[in-house]
Amino acid sequence: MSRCKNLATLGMLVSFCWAQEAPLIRSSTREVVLEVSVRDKHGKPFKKVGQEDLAVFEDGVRQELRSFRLVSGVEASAQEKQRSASTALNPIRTVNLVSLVMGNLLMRTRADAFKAARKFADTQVRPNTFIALFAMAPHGRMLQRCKFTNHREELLKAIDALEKEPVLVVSNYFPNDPLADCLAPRGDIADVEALQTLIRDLGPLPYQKTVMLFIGDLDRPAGMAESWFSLIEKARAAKVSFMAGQQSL
Amino acid sequence: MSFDCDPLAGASAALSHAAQLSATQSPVLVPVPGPGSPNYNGHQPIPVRPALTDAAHVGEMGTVRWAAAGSNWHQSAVDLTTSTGGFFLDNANNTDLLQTVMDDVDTRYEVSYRRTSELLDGRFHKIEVKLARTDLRVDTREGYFAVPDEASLTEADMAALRALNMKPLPQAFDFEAKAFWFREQRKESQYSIVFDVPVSHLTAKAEPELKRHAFHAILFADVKNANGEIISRFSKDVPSEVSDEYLPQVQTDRLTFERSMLLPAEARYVETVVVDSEGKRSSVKVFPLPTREAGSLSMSDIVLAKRIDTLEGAADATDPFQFNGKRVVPSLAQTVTANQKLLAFAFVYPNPKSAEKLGLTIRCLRDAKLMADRTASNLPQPDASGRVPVLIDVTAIPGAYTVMIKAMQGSDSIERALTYSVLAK
Repeated sequence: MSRCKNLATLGMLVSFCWAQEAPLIRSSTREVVLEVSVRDKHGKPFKKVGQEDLAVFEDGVRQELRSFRLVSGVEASAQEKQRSASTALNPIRTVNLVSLVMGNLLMRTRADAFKAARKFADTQVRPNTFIALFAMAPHGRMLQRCKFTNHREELLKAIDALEKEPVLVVSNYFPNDPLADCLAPRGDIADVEALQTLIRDLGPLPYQKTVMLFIGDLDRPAGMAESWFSLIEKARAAKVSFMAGQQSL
Repeated sequence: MSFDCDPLAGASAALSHAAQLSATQSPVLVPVPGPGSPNYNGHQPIPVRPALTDAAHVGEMGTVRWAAAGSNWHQSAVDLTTSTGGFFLDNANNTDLLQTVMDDVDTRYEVSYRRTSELLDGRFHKIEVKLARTDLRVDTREGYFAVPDEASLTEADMAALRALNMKPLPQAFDFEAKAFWFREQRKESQYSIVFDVPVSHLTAKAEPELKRHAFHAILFADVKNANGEIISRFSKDVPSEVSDEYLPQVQTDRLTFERSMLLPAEARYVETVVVDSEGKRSSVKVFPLPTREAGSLSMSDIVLAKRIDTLEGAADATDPFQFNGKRVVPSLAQTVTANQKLLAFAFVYPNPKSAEKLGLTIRCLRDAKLMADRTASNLPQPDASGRVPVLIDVTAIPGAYTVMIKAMQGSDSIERALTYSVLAK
């Protein structure tokens, strides 16, 4: 590696070495390897567990641990990407279920949201990461536009198709109007109901489920605090975590 | 039927669940104004037009700009995400957000231990992880199937292994499975394991919008030694759709599948499973593996065949049912109807070191009475793999039949027999 003369070459070598050295999860004839997710009561990953805090039982008999370590998401992602040429599920590894939810998008930001969803699908589909696409619809409905899949093309196609679908536009809304955002459809109790539907349906699925919100508006309905807190409680009980982001305009 | 163990506990559930969602929810977005919009009256239709992109705001593609800062949305989203273990990223760009999401999703502990038993018998072993702290939640796979090369298990394999771990073994519907011995090769025996499933025994799931029905069968077999250890296994996932107009015809047909295996002498018995995925049920058949003495002159088991197809591509050299551009479609039926086209099929493997000519005697008995006795001496030369195929038309009138083939080469001889019944239509 010391003979490398430029950064590009160095980069390739570093990548190669890293790929060789990264510990890959393996299960030999006698060794059983487990991926264990530990989260706090809110569902947040908890990273301060020691080996002495954890006990593994097989058929009711406590097992002596041979190894124990925290694997960061970055490292786990890199391991998975090494296998990304295949869509074959690895039964030893944890299955990630991520739901992309598109809803109530403002006209001015809709393209960006779909671009982000597309980028997510393009970069994060992996053998053990299954991604589904949902669209929030009026009357508290949550429409599934793509089943949970680890096939990138299938997901990208569904995202493209959803972006092309007609969207609700209120009659006095004009896309170049500076007040457009104010006139775009507002979130309401129906949104909460739609999310409750999603939580109910994701609940029976295993592991922590991730819901990535691409929604332009989500109002905590005034005077309906009970529904709101119920939504959060149901999400916690169903092991559903919501994630979202925002850029100031 | 319920499964009490699911080590994967992931993809298969997710996929079937997803199918459920798709089936129960409308595929079309109906544009209806929300209660807050000016023209809302609960039913009144409003104009719909395609989404338009506001070019003035799309200059910085790649940034997260689907929500307006400062709105109530912000506080609601922060509230919802942080309360459920997620997060809300302010002033993020797409890359930050996506990486942070997956970093969160993928963070976990990796733990290993040494199994106490080395027996790879396909049995499910339940795993539990307990934490000293009760305020934390722990997730891991529910267990594992003790099989060689666990990481290669597919969803189809696991569906079948779940069935094999049920007590009693499920018998939701009838199917036939049988192992045929072909020849010995380098201290291993070539077998073919054949499945024969009446399509009418599989659940046909209606898909009215597509005017078709869907079937989904999983065929699985493992071969074990006397200790119950899995020596070899395979599975075949067979999803299929049939147009409604052809459904009655298809339901009178049978799903036939065969797979060749080279097995060591320690192989003793076969576990076969058919999973009817659409019906969420399964059936298991376990039977001993036939063993044969292999001399210098050898002959395969005799197989009843329902037809011979012409191969479109090159023959698979490992598949004994394919030869000379043809594929024999075996039948496992013990009872067939009169005048149904039937063939008896076998390979004779002459001793390549012998200069003696190969001869055959074929006898057919109906209800224990000799009906035919033929001798063939002008046989073709063995093919490149040293085998001479024998095909006999045995289409017949009702009765209990025995077909016997005897091969002779010099002082060596070998005989195999096949029995079956023919019923009146």
